Amino acid sequence: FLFPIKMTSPRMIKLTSNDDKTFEVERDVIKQSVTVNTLITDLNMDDEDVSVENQMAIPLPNVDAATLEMVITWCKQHREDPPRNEEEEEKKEKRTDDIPEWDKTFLDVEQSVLFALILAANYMDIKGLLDNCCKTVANMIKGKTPDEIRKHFNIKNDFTPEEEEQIRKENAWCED
Amino acid sequence: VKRMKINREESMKEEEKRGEMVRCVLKLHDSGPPEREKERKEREKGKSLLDLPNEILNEIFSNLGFVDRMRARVNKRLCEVERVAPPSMDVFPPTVIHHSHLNIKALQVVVTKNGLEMHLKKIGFHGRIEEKGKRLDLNVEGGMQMMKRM
Repeated sequence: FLFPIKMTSPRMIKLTSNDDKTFEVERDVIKQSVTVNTLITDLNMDDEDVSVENQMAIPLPNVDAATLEMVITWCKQHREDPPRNEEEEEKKEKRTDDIPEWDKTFLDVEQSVLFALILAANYMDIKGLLDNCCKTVANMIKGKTPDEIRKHFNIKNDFTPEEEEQIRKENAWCED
Repeated sequence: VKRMKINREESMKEEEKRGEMVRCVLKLHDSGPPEREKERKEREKGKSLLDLPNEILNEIFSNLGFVDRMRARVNKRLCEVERVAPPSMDVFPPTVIHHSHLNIKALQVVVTKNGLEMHLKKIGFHGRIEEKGKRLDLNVEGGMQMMKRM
C-alpha cells in the first residue's frame, strides 16, 4: 500500500530592508528575531493558505540590505541553537572568551559593519547575535590604554583639562 | 499694434525661458527628492561606537573587567555610561555583606585570572559600603561607584 507522501516545503517569510531589497527566509530561521516573530504571530502570517507570492513583506526600516543579509546568514547558522533562557543567562558569569569560532570569523569585519550589525540585532531583538557582537567590541577595548581606545574607535577627547586630570587621578592606580 | 506685437513676442520668449528653467530644475530633482538623498548619504557614512545607544554601550561595558572599564572612560558620554553600567564581571562583593554598611579607609582590588591572583592593588580612597535592598553599593571618594547584586 502506497500512501501519498505530502512534501511540505519550508514556510517562507519575506523581509524588506530600508533600501527596498526583499529577502525570502525560512520561518524557522527567522524565529530567532523576537521582533519579526511577534509581527508574524500578530499579523496571522502563519496561515498556511497564503502562498509566499501573495504574502506581505515585513518592512525593516532600520536595517539595510547588506546588514539584513548578514543577519539572515547568522540566523541560518544558529537555527539549531537551543532557545535561550534569559533568567539563566543573567545568572551566568559574564565572559568574553566564549564566542563560538564561527561567530568570531563572521564578526571579524570593519567596525562600521559590526556596529550596523549590533543596531540591527538590537532592533530585530536577536539576543544571541547582540551578545556576541557586544563581546566582540568588549574584546576590542580590553587591554588598551585610553589613548589607544580613542585611536581605535576614532573618539574625540571632549574632557575639560580639570575633568581629564580627575579621570587620570582615578585611573592612576591601574596604570602603574 | 506694433508695440502690442513686440510685447507679446517678448512675453512669449520670457515664458519659454521660464519653461526651460523649470525643466532644468526638474532634471536636478530626477535623482530623487532631496530628503531621500540625505537619508541615503547618512546611511552610507558608516556607524561608529558612539552611534550605539547607551543601552548597548552599557552591555559592552558590563563585559569589561574593572580596569578596562576605568580606561574606557575616554570621553564624557562613555564616562557617564560607565557610571551607570551594570557591575563589572570581576567586581565581587566583599565578605562584609551581612553588615548593613561599613565605612572603609582603603580598598584592595584583586584581579584574578583562571583562579590565579594576578594583581593586588590598594586604592587610597575613603569610602563606604552600604546595603540597599538587594544591592551592595560601594561609594568611594572621587565619584566612582560600583554596584554588585547580592
